[in-house]
Amino acid sequence: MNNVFKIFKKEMDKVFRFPRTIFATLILPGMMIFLIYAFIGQSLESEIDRSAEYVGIVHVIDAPASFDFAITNQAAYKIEFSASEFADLESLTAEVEAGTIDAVLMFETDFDSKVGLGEDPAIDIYYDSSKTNSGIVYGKIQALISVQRDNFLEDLSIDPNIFAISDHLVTDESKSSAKILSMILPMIILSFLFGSALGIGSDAIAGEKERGTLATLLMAPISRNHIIIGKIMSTAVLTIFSAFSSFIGILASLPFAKSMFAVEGELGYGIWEYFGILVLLLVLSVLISSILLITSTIAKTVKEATMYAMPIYMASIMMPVMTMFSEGTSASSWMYLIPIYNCTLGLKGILAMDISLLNYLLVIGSTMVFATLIIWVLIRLFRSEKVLFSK
Amino acid sequence: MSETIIVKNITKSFKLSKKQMKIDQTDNPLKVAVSDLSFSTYEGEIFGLLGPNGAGKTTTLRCIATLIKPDSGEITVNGIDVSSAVEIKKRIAFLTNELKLEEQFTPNYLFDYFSLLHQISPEETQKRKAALFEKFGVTKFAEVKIGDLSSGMKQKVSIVISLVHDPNIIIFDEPTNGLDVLTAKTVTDYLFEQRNAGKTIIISTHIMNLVEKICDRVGIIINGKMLVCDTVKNVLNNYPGKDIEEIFFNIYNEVNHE
Repeated sequence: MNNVFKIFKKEMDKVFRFPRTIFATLILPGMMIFLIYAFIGQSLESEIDRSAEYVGIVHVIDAPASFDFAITNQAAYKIEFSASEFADLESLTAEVEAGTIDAVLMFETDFDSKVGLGEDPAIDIYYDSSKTNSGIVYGKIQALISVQRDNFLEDLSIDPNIFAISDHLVTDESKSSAKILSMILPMIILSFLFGSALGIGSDAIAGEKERGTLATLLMAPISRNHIIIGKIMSTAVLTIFSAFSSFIGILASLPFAKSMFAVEGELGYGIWEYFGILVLLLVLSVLISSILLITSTIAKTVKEATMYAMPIYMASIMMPVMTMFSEGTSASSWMYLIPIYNCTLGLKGILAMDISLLNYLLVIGSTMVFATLIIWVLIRLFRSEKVLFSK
Repeated sequence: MSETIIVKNITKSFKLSKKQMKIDQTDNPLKVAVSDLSFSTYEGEIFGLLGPNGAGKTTTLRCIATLIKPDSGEITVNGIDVSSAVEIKKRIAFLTNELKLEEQFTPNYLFDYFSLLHQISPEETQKRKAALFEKFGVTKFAEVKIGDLSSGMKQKVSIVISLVHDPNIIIFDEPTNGLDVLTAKTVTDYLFEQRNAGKTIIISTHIMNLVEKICDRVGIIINGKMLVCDTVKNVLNNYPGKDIEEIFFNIYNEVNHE
């Protein structure tokens, strides 16, 4: 038993005698779980706050007197009601789809009289479930109709199911399905990209240092710039292969993803969506490879490189979590300039079929600029004796 | 004989990490590895750098091999300043125990790869490969992955790979370390052969009798300073002691008791 304890103690010493290992083994996992959940919570909370404050725009057709309570108190319900005609229904639903208004609420003509006669008059709600704001307003309308129903129940002693409410999704089903995928896939894509680049990038320089093969390479009659650029290219290409693999995986899994993520309807991605994802994955691969090669250059061993890269990896996969519940179009243009976060927004936007060309170009352009800056830093680091030959 | 390497008053310092300061038991974060060091080598000679561990031998050789830059001083190789690193590396072979080969590749693959980096034609590569593999007995395991070879075999492959470009100057840091007696003999025979062909060979070692046995001239480095630089014959004649080992310890004790 004494020997067992000796072995046990040495293994414990391997962790507890070194601050870095303590951090990586004991502090980092807990910190990451806390951060991920804190980010999810924060993200949800801010979305709830935003929902509560959001003032929706609803066009009402044939509003009955029983609905006046809502219209007169519209400020309190945070909805702007506008009266419209049945003849405008088609153009109004187009506006809902375009996102300029949030919903159309249409009551059957002589609604209140029909309720009094014991008929079941219809209420039609036109909204776009792929738009967060429209979804929020739809919920508020449901609540108001419920109040309206309760008011009737107070006045008349009749069946509570006096209204026949019909929901009308004005968006095409593919957009609604795409919205669900856009919440989940960016995190999966980023995890896979980082995961494969982590192994390749950490080994590319730190692995060579650790095995003593970097010095052999440095003795070849080629400049250090050529060596590091070759390393960046090979890491990026391997990550890109991995990105292609993820991309093909995404395409192949879409039919299954539909049932897995409770997606209804067909996915209407066209050639431009696929092309957009592909280009974004390519530039993102170069950026991620360069970042991970920096940690690999600074580190002395693969283990150390992986340890340095881990917080970056965790922070990067947290970014899709931050955007998971937000409305794609609500992001300001400057957000499309934040490295990696912008790629998350870009991926989410493309997958939700909800990104402007300008914002997409901002994502691609700024990612290329960041990648160039990182490569410049990497080249400088690779020239440093202290970094390459430190013990 | 014309000069091949000229090292003139080089100084090289390193900033120590806290860990290194603890190991060296010093409060000074700056360690002078080489101080105002000068020497030259000539065509057709084997020059031995002798010194204890940490004396500055490897730092000096790394400066010559362009892996690191001296803080001050000048180094030229065949008349070319070491700032032209690529040109220098075309002319020298540098082999140390720290230089390793990728374990997943075979000697055959690595010879071709490094020949390619040295821009050697495929025909010339095949010719050199056949000769060097034969000389160092690599042929029989030419297609075995480095990771599957014994340490002696790996050492042989490292030597062969460092010589792909048939360099004029060969720098070996501890050339016979870790080699069995037969391979060590092959290496020393090869060094003699190259010396006789007019090439310059610098070896760094702490094995005193190796210097006496194979070197034409010797430089003794202690605490980063070149204290002796002369022919082995002159050193044996002019310094107190019956052999290089005794002479070295006399000098070492003298320096460390000052």
